Amino acid sequence: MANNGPCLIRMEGVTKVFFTDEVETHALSGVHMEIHKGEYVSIAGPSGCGKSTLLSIMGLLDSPTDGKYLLNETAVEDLGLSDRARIRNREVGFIFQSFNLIGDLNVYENVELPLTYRGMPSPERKQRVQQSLERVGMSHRVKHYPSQLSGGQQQRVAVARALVGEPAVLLADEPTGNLDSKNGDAVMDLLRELHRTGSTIVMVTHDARFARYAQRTVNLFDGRIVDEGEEQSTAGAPSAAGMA
Amino acid sequence: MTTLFQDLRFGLRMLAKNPGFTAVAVITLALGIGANVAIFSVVNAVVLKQLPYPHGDRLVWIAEFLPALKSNMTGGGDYVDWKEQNKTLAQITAYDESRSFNLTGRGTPARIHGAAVTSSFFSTLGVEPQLGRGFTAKEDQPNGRKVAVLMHAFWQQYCGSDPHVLGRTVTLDAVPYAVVGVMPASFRFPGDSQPKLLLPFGLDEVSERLRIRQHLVRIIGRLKPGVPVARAFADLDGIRKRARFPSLAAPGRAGSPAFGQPQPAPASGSGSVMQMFGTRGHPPTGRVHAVPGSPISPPQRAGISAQTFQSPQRVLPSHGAKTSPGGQAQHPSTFEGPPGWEIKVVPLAEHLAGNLRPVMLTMFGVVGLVLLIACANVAHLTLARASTRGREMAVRAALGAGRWRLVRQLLSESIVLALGGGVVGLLIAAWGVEAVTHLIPSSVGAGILNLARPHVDVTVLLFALGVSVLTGILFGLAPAVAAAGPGLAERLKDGPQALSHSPSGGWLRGALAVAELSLALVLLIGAGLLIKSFYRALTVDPGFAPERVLAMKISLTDARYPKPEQKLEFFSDVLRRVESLPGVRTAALGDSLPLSPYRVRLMIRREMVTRPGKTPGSNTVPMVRLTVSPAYFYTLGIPLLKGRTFTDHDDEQAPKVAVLNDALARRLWPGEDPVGRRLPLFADNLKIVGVVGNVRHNGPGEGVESEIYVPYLQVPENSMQLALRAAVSPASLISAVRGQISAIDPEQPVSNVATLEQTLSESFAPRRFNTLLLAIFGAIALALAAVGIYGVLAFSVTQRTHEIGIRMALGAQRSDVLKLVVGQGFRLTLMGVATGIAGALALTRLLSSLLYAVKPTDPPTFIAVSLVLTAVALLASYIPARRAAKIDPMVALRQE
Repeated sequence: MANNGPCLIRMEGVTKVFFTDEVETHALSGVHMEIHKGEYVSIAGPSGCGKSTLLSIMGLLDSPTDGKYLLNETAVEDLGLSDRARIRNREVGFIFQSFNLIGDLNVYENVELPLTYRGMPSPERKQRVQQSLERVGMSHRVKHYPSQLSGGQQQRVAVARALVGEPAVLLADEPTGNLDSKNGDAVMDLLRELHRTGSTIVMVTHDARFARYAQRTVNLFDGRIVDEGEEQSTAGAPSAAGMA
Repeated sequence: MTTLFQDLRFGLRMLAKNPGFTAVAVITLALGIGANVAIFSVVNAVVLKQLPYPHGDRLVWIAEFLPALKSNMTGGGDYVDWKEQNKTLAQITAYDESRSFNLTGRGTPARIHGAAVTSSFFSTLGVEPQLGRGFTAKEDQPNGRKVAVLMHAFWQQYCGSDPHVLGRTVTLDAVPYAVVGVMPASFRFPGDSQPKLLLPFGLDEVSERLRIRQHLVRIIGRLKPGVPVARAFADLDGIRKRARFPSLAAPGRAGSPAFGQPQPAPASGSGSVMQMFGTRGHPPTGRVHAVPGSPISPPQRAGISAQTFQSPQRVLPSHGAKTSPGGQAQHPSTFEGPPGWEIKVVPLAEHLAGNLRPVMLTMFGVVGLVLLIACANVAHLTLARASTRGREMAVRAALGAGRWRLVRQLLSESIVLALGGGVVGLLIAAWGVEAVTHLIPSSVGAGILNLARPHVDVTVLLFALGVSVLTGILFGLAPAVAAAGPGLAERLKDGPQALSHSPSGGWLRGALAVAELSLALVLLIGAGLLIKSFYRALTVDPGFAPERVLAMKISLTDARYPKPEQKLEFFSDVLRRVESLPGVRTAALGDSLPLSPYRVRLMIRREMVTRPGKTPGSNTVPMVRLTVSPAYFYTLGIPLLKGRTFTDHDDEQAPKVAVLNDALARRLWPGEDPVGRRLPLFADNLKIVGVVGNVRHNGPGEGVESEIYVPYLQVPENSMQLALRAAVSPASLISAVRGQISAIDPEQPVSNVATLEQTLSESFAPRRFNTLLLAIFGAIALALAAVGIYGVLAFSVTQRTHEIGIRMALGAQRSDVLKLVVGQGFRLTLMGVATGIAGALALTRLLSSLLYAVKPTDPPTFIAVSLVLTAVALLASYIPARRAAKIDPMVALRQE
């Protein structure tokens, strides 16, 4: 393992089966995995191998059909909807491939949203939103709506939204999938920077070039972990010159 | 044209492809269009259509009107003046449709309804008898030949449709009348009721002109071609004024004797009389008669005031009046009429439509709002559907379709949809028009409905077609413009979701929901006000106890009972016999029982009973005189407040006495005890012996009038109403009571048999009708608005599924999602309520005339209805909100 911090995520024999009519699809088959605090892990593999399903289970958007899942040493695989929502809100930050900003909310309101669900008082929310936007370099666009931003800017806002609640782990699902290479690199640089300041990051990617940004890469194939290895160095990863 | 058909064909195909959408839209539109067509059918019949007489638009109704006394009839003198002097009427006729007769010699004796008409009646209306002829001028003389024209129904019922009936006789009030004509089945008499036969009026034009002896008449005129109503008004008003003020008369003309109003002349049967009495400073000692040809100027006149009728038709001799053998009373002619007399000249159709006209026009506005709500609903559905066709529109645009072409195509689909709604709406209307017509109370619309029965005709069909096309354009335009709007290239790229994500689409849908809610609120507040008003009227104390009271009318004829003693004996016998029947607790007689039209209205000068200037207010006091038997108050449950009621000793030989109702007592002697005081009335100086409670004679929703009761033993009448309070079901006593009356006189019919509870219920009919209609339309509006807000939110949830997924991924709880969606509904509802209240404040004043004891801006109603609408809207919002809260975030996120 690349990191000796306490174990943040532990999965034991996690299996996910989808039932469509009479067809069983095994998306994950007995996945064992541990992720420690402060780690930057990429999950790679071909399309349909179960990467996103694994990430959804990690983010408590979905629950495993079988197996155990401990988040922060708490078993979460059988939690009810309400508890799962609460944990998602406090422990997990999502970064989606398609940004998933809400079109009717401006930048500030989008970033503020997780804190609103947490019931945080307004002054504190304001302070944290401001900080978070400053971290991603978007504090000058608080009044803008998503449709007024470029893809790279939208993803930076999405990152700010993921960060604002100071979650235990950032889960990024193909965060550069909808970006050009320049903006993709910039987002990867941002994630690397966040990792350097202590964030735990789990990133799904099918791009080997971006996988190299992570400390460790877990390769999936047909719902199983087929290979797991530490990257030699992240220094070779291209650095972002800036984002549009 | 080819492309239009292409569009229509494609529209039909698209609708067939979406049966669910089509069905919901068609049903919604059918409700709106159906309601409009049904109400329009009635409006068409009562407002727009010509009367079924040749050139019916030239027929006018002419009357003199005194608002203070609710009088609406004209003296025969004015009729004669107008007939002789007018320059604007081609024809003029006078009639009295309130005559009733005892028909004998044709089976069971029956009380039948007839009308007296002048000989010009037929030519004025432009109608001819089916058999025989109308009346000649000679027959229409005071002592003319006794002839009759039968109405078709009478001819069928009593003459077996005998084609040789001409020349035969019918016996009315023991007098034979020769039949000279039979009216066609299609002929309808221009009035609230249909008489069974017509008799010559026999006006003595000389006496009428000199106001020596006058009948109260109804008048219809036929305008000369091209003459507007206003000119006829000016013409007739000028003649009337010259007759009232002789100084205005042409030199040499023997002006009419006074500007007082005519006195009624008697006839047998019912009817109310209004008379006026009073002297200046001292009690009247008798009637003042005009000297023909010697007009008396106002200062010369003894202070007898004016008289008139409420709605009557028949005129009774007043107490003390000299009754001529022909049944006409000698009446004073030199009355100084109270101020405020007006002349009315209105199209006959408008007069016959009466109160139904404003009610139906109001309802037409109401259903217009319902249609707007339906349009907003379907516009929303269409908008939602159009949003899924963004790519199709983009492809069409890419292939060269212009914006107008796209709009036209979508509008064609909307119109096809609306026409479908129109067809189903017509079916609803065909049923609805029957239902509405059935619901219209006879007291409101009988006059016009007798002549013009609402039904679906060509005009209505054209209206339905027009309203359907307009509806299609109305609800289809906004979605069509939105769907064919700019940004087609983006839609081509982004697919069907693009339009739904457009801010304008969301704004438009929200605006439609707000509009629906506000329109529904306006209707609901209107319905709420009427319901409250109806409740208030229902719960108001009528002043009498109608429970278990049976009422019927007995009209004696002078031919059979020529002397007052005979009449008294008959009625006393009736009372004795009826009271002895098992199940009868008590029985009484009155000339106008509660809820029946007043028969005698009169007016006195206040100084007759009080010192001048002692009491404030008008110098004249209008009142109603009621002739009753001693047990009247007890039988009807009218409480005695002071003094006593009448006894059997209050007869012709005893001093003349009267009982006042509380309203009159307070008006004449405010703060004083009226018992023991004197009231000069007619030739008598009545002693007030008691005060009884107020009775809402015209119905619980109506005001209290000043009433004076006199004993029937001192004021014998031809026509009385029998009221008996039963210990059993009153209906079970009808045959026994009829039997007792028949035992006294087998040829004496009884009529108007009904329980007071039935009559009371019928008195609510107009209010019930208005309330019911508005409540039905309000309920439809509420349902449509609820469906509307549900639709807006359900669609919003569908469109926002992905967003909701994101929110849940960010930690939103189910309650957060519920709040999100319900909150959206709540905001729309608040906006709808705010605009609705503003609209209602502006519009409910139109309902003022329909309300009783409720202000058009009644705050409790506004608040309660707003809360009901908000609750329903929140409930409608909760359903999609609950669905949204159940969204699986994984599925939602994948949706993109």
